[in-house]
Amino acid sequence: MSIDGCNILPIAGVALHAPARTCAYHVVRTRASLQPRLPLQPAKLLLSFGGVTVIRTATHPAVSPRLRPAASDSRGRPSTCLVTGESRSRVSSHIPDPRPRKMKKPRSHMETDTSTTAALLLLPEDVLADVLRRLAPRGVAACRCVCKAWRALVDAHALLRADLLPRSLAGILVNFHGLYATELFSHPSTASRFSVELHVDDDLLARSVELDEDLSRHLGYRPTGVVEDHCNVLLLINNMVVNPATRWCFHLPPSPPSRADVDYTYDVGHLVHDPTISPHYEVFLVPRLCPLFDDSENDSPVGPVAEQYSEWPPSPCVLRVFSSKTER
Amino acid sequence: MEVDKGKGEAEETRKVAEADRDTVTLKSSDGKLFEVSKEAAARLSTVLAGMIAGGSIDDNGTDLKQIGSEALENVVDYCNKHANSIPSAALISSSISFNTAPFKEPEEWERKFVDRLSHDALFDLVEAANFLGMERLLDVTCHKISEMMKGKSPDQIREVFNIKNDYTKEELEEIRQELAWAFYDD
Repeated sequence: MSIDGCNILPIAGVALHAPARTCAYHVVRTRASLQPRLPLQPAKLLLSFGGVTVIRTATHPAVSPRLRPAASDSRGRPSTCLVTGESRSRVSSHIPDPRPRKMKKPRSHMETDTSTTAALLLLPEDVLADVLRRLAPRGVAACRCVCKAWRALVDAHALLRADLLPRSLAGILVNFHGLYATELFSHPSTASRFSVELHVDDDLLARSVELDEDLSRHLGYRPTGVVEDHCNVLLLINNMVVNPATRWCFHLPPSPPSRADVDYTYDVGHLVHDPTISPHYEVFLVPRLCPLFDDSENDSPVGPVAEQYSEWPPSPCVLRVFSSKTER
Repeated sequence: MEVDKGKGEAEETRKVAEADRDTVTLKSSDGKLFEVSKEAAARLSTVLAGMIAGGSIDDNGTDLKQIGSEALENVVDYCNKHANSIPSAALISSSISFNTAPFKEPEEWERKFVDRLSHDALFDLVEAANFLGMERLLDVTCHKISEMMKGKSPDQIREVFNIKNDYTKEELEEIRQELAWAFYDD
């Protein structure tokens, strides 16, 4: 069982889609501090997830509105976030001018006594912010722990995008085997705001949400669409990339038509995103060959067609990739 | 040393065409004089460009009281090297942020240029570049410093830059909890 990586936790026939690796980990850690550490019993893990389904509603009046992608929250409602960073009053809402060229006072010779290399701290704040801005979020987080001045700097310049980096669990999405819809488990108070937004663009799914309104009110979860893949905060649903926490969603462009000479294929979407490394994500459409069940080869999921196309060279299957960086 | 060569050439230039010079003389805080091509200075430094355009360039050495001779030497060195490499407008990137546009990677020679510098020289150069409004040089130097931090733990960063830890143990634990995702495999 891997907590890390793609955080699909197969538990007794259940594939568990945690909204974010960090969340899953966070929970496990919390439990680990209470009881002897791993290996986790599958059943216990599930229970512990149920028990520690931490739900906090956080609004970031200072941070969110301007950092979040424009499409996200035009309704002005408080967002139910996976993010629960304490709203930082320290965070100033002004966007610092990219490069103010301020005259800096010459470094006094008194200061040089303290140390030669602490000189880094004497750099103008904007320059230092410029340095830290180049680091991946994990690096920025590390710098925030270096000293108080740097923490203030990171916060003042909003170098860590709190909206992208959730820290606690607001709900769990589960793909049960044998069910076609992904289930969302979360606290009833947040479930409605959380999941309806997922389907606002999809009539079919919206209807299914209505149908099960009463049920979900009772059970505290709502049926949702099928989550094809997930990676940290992002979900891949019906050709959309969705961040349920910020209600951001992006429709993938229609993929180029597949080759006509390849039958029996379908594409399986895979999402790759690590917010601690880069704000961008990529979607891989991996062509799969439909298993052909031949009477003579009842047990083999790989039929003759699959064999034919999986041989090297040349495979007519095309791996299509969409990157948010290039938007292609 | 290219600077010396530049100086020598500049000496000659001064004699030949006193009235129509194509270099500017810069004076460091400790009184040393450096020659740099006017074209390169104007192209690479917004502050120098302004000074040249505004006619506040002193033929006997424009005072840059904020910049020490070592840093100024590096600045001039950079300008000369830049003039020798292929100058292109594309090199001058606009405001860079991890969250918005990708930073244009330093070129090989720029990398070498900052790699050979000591920490102190590098920081001085950053400051000089900031002061003179040399966007590209600032990019390159900031990039270098951020590379020095990359992948390091807070302890390692403190060690590299000799920064004093002014957190108490409890504060540090709290701040790590806040950002637990960043330390999950420490």
